[in-house]
Amino acid sequence: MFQYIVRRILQFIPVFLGVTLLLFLTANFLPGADPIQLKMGEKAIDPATKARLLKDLGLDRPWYAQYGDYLSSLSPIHIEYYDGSTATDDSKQPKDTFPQTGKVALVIPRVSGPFPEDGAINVTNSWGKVVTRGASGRWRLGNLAIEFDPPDLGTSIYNGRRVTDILGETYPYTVRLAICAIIVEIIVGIGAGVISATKKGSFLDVLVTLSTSILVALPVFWLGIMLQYAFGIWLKDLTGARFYLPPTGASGEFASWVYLILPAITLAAVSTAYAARIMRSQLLEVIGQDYIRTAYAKGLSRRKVLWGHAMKNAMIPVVTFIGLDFGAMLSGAILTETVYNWPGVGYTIYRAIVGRDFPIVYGGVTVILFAVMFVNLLVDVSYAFLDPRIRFGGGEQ
Amino acid sequence: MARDTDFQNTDRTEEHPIKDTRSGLPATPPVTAELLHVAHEETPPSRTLWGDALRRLVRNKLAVISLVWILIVIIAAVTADLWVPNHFGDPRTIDSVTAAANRLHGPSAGHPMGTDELGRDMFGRVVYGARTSLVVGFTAVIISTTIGLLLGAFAGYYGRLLDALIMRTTDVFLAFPYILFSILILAIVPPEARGIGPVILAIGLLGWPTFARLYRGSVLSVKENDYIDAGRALGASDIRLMFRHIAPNAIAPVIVYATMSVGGAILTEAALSFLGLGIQPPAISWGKMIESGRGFLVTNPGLVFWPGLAILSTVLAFTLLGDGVRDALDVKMKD
Amino acid sequence: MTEHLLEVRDLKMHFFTRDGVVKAVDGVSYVLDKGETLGVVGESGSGKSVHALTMMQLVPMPPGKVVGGDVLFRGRSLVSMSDEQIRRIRGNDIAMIFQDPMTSLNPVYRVGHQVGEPLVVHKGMSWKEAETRAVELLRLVGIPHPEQRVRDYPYQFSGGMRQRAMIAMALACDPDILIADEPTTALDVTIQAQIIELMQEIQQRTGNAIIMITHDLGVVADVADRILVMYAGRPVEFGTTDEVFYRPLHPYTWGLMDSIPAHGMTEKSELHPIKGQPPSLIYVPPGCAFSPRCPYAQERCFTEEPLLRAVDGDHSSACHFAGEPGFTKSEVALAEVTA
Repeated sequence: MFQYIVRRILQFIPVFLGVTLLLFLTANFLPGADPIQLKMGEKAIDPATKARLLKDLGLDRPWYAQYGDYLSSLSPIHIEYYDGSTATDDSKQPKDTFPQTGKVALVIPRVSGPFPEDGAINVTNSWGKVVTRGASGRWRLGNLAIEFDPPDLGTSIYNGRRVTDILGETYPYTVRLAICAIIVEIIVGIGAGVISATKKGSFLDVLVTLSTSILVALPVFWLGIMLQYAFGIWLKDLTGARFYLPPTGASGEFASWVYLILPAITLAAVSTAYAARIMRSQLLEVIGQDYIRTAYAKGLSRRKVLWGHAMKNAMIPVVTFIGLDFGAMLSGAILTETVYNWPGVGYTIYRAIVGRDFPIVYGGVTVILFAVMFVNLLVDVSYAFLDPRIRFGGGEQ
Repeated sequence: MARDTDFQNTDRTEEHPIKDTRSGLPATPPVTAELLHVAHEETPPSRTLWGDALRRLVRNKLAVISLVWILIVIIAAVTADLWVPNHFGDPRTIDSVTAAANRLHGPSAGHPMGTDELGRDMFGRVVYGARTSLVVGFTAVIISTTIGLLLGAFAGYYGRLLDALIMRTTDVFLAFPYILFSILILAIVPPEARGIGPVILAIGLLGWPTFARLYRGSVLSVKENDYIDAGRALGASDIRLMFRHIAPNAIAPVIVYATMSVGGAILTEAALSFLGLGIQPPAISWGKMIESGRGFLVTNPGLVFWPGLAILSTVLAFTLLGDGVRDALDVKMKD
Repeated sequence: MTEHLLEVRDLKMHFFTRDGVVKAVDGVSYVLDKGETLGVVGESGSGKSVHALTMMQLVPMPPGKVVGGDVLFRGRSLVSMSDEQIRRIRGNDIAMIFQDPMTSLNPVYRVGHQVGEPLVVHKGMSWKEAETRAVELLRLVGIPHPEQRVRDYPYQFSGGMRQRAMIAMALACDPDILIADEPTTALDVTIQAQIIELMQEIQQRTGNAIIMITHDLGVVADVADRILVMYAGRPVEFGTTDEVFYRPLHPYTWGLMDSIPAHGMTEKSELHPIKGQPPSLIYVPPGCAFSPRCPYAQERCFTEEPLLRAVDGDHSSACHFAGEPGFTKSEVALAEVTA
């Protein structure tokens, strides 16, 4: 099991590098308005100011330097070699020059400067950017330093805030929405699937089959607007405006959960339909298996056969689907969040893309990738937990 | 429940009454013979895979209704110029004289879906919107299918390094949040260049990995067959094997998925246009109509409702047709 | 009249499908007493499995329907019992073993759980008690190290061991009747013999009755007291094992016997499979159902349905010519050779 997890994490690395590389290439090689102009609005910018801004933001460097910088900042651990030269005596040097990292020697960057005393120090890294090193600690091995820092995703071009702070504020919204949506999906999806399968051919079954087909074809944003219309306008007298307020204006914990209902239903709609379909087809398949006949022949009641023997088998693929879907929801629901002005990570990234605030885009995608990887890993582990054949490395079947 | 029992055996013959092997018996009861005879007359002489599939598809009511609906939408979109402007006024242009008087009308005989905020007929706009959706849907899927088939064929046929390379690339593409990526591509297009072309490219270029994987898997299983070895032994070239021998037997899942994907592409186009990154006015798109109608939700919900219903019904038709094609071709796919 | 353990009276189970009525079981009767073993023999499609599933109410209804007859267990009608009543019988008084041990155990439950489950359901045991008892049961059916194996999952068992586990599960509540539906078909020949031997052993110990359903006359030859031969849902011959083996009275039984590989056969000796296919149960041939495949069929056989009738004591046959002088397997065969 442990080996399996390690293997999955290792498999994630090339995918992660591929996705982020693709992202950097797309962002840097396609034409478009430049971020500085977008930031300054319609104001005219003199070239010198623009050059300084670009340099400050590190955007004057080639894309691979930016990419390398991004990867290097992401790592919580850095190893550096301090050569002990005294070139950077604070009293003699201007305040804004920092120990300079030389060309990468093999894999370990060489820093010209004395081995730093305790505490964080600012270093210009191999990619030409000033970074903090050793903020969370530093181990010494001769002149080699192993330095620990919290992962850094850079700063927003637009307002200069740290991307980690921005995501730290928006991600909880996405997580909350995803949790609510997944609860809807589990209850309604599994429930409808089970009813539909156990009452195959009945009116309810036809209803479930029909409505899942329709839901799958539904434009999410349209559903969102229509729900807003139904609850916010049409049924306004009945429900009050409580379903239809921006989440940031929410007062009190309960209220803020009520606002989640419509977005959660909107986000869950399509996947709930899929979950119901999978549940139905799986249960129907399992009910036809020989071991179900065995269970009946033992004298188990219909209820026990269904919930004990059939469901435990039929649930395996459903759990997998719902788990993976939860990962997808953690990627941010751009359409749902846009329709409801929900300040989640999808909406944030979308706004950042439109505003060319690329550090937020890179940072947001990074967080999403890690979240999805983590959830997928959980799904795999739970899969092994549910299916003993996987847990023990497979049997003859 | 009673698998492997006698009942099951007879159940199997139920589906293919003609294939029953009773004809070899010395004394067949007259009733049976008669039935068999009738059944044979109904069966056309050529029983090819595709002929069979077509026959099964025609028998599927939902698929036929879907096909009819898709044809209606196509015909309406293609012939729109001939009848829409005459009956409902040209929904592509704003008549500055009557715009103010005609804006935001409810449904009436002259405007079955009412008029929008600029006095244009909603029904006409929905019909013209179908043009955009269908063009984007079909061309984007043709692009993804072509790329996917080529890469899938090479990956499946040659295997090894090429296979690994292509498959890891699909991993990367599939790990990337799809809609985010298309937004990224479209956002980078300068606003003045936005429109149907970039949308088609964004959807088409991002859709290929699933096709590639599907076709690769299919090629791999077909490749195992003896007739491929036989073809190779007879000196057929790789290209010939790939296109003449493997493709006809491996393409079924791709056809099914492509049918369903047209609906998916229409949905994505609508979403991108809704976000303001897709089709730009004055071009008409269902997604964009929903976005601009949103501001009038309180007084005129129809501005949002009708284009949404158009998307829903068209996408639903493609999905159900895809289901029908899947059942007709007897392709096993995950739900 | 004494009450029998099990009495099947003219049982008819038909399936109502789109294409017509499938007469899967069409008039089967027999009695079974304590400690007896009945062999039910026939090709697939002969209704032998369905008749057993019918008495357990394990046939999906609809499309299945009992259109006539009855099955009495200790004088109580099984086919007219409510769901709850028959549930109390299943696994408790009548237990069943199925053909394919690979698919008949639930893959996600431990073997011990599945073997002990009937005890929890019927005897009100706790899961802990049931598992302790499951260890004993597994030992009884000859599974080595049962204390450890109860914790295993089915996929960790070999095919023969799974069938042993199935038997252990069936025996858990000490049932009066054990129905074994092709218990050895999916197993290797050596394992087959072991399983049959095991079932005999257990019968001697517990005194339960066994209904052994098989397509292979050889399987029942050593174990069955009496044999019922079925064809196209109908009984064609019924008698003690000796009677059926030494004086078979139906051409179908003769055919079955010729298709058993006998001891001392070489590779060159010919097996004689019965020619043709079993009939469709929707369009059962008129007259004798076997007539289209019967080498001795006369005109009468195609028109007039023969009924099962006692020919020699209790030994009965559903052939018009059974009991006629000269119409025995050896004499007919001799006639063929000399002709």
